[in-house]
Amino acid sequence: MLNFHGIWACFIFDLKKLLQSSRFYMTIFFVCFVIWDHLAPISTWLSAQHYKITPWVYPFISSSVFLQMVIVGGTLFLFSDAPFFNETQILLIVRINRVQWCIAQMLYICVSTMIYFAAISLISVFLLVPNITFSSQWGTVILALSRGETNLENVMSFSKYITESMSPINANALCLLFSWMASVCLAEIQFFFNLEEKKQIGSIIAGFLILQDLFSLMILSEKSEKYSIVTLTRVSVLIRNGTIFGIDSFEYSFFVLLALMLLFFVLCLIRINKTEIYIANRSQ
Amino acid sequence: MPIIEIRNLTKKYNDTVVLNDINASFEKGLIYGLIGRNGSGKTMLLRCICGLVPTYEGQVWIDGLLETSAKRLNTDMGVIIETPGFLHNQTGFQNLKLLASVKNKITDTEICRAIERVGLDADMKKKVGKYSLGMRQRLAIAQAIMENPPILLLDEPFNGLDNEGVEKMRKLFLTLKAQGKTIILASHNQTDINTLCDEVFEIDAGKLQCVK
Repeated sequence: MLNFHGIWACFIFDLKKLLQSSRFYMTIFFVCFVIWDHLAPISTWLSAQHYKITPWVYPFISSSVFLQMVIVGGTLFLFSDAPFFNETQILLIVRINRVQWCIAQMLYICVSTMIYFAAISLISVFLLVPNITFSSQWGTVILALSRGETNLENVMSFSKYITESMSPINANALCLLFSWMASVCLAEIQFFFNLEEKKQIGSIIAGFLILQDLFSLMILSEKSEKYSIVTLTRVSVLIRNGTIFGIDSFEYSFFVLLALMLLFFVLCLIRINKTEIYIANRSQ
Repeated sequence: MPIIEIRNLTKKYNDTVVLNDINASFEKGLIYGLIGRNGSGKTMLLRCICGLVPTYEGQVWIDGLLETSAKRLNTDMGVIIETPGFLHNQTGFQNLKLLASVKNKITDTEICRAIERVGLDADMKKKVGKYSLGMRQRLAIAQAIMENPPILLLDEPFNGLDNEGVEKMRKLFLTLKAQGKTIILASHNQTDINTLCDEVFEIDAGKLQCVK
């Protein structure tokens, strides 16, 4: 029988530790700095032209290969100490059985990734202040940027596939959902393979899977996109493809990411019973 | 019936034998000492008993139940393995409360009582980040005893304690022994071992022998 109290207590302990760690804030700072670097030319132009932009920029940020790699890579860094065996965790593990402790870690990964993406998406809006105007539509500026009707050069791409096919709220929601699901998958992959081997093999594998998006774009063909976890988060690619293996590309992406999340969740629960618990990080 | 019984316990990493055919039994209400050089296998033995090591040859019986696989991590033990870690930005009390919420068996009063017994009552509202090494060690002992477990596995429990702290903890362990607890403590300090322990085991190159 599941000890929900125990699972929740372990989860809260992990979350408090994360929110007190400088690594979490440094990761968000670094990612937001990179986003700011890409939004700065647009912000400068908006100020010069006295234009206002609506806050729906996140879908375009996550559709950029480089930016999405950085954003998802941030979660790789956050969970680089997976499977989180340290002096603090030992005190929890000896109070709860392994499977329930592992469930708590999966819950921690899901919630902390949610917090991370919520912070990134909110800060990306904040970065455009004071040139922001609120509307439920894309707005003139984003539409103009997506159609290439501005004289801006060398700025982040605003895909017209997104503005022509989706409402801002849908686009934001789907981008955040898929980004979150992909990051949870990658964190679980890190967790699982780091359980198998103590040498951070999981982080290397997850890193390679993030780079697969770049490889699909630069070296491999478009056909390889359907096998790349990070590519499946990019809404512009999903719209462009329309269908994958005859299935609506959005449904394909959702079910593939969900299947991977569940698969590695189960694999981690099975593996934890055979894993020696060691103290990897002497952080305190 | 012994509360802990170890039969033919062997633990290897590739060709390196860390524990070599260990046989021992531990009765209720006694204090056992484990001594040995660095790297002799003391901590590994404690880790095998408390279930942190899932694969080994042999058997570990806890209170009449066989730990057959890693699924059964015995949770009725108070443990100090290596240097315990706490959340730095939480007080000593808050850390213990968080840990106690896992099993949800004890009240705030019992947590406070455990803190008082280790002599940290004046500091329990201070953040752990401001604790000295000795204070953290006392907090570690408090977390091990607060849920009133029948078995205590303590790896170097006197680490970082001043003379007053050592004396206080010795008296505490003797009180717990009188209450019927089984305590296994690993220590380099011969005085601690001689003062406290009813039986002493020495581990050398993975082999265990009773020396007292």
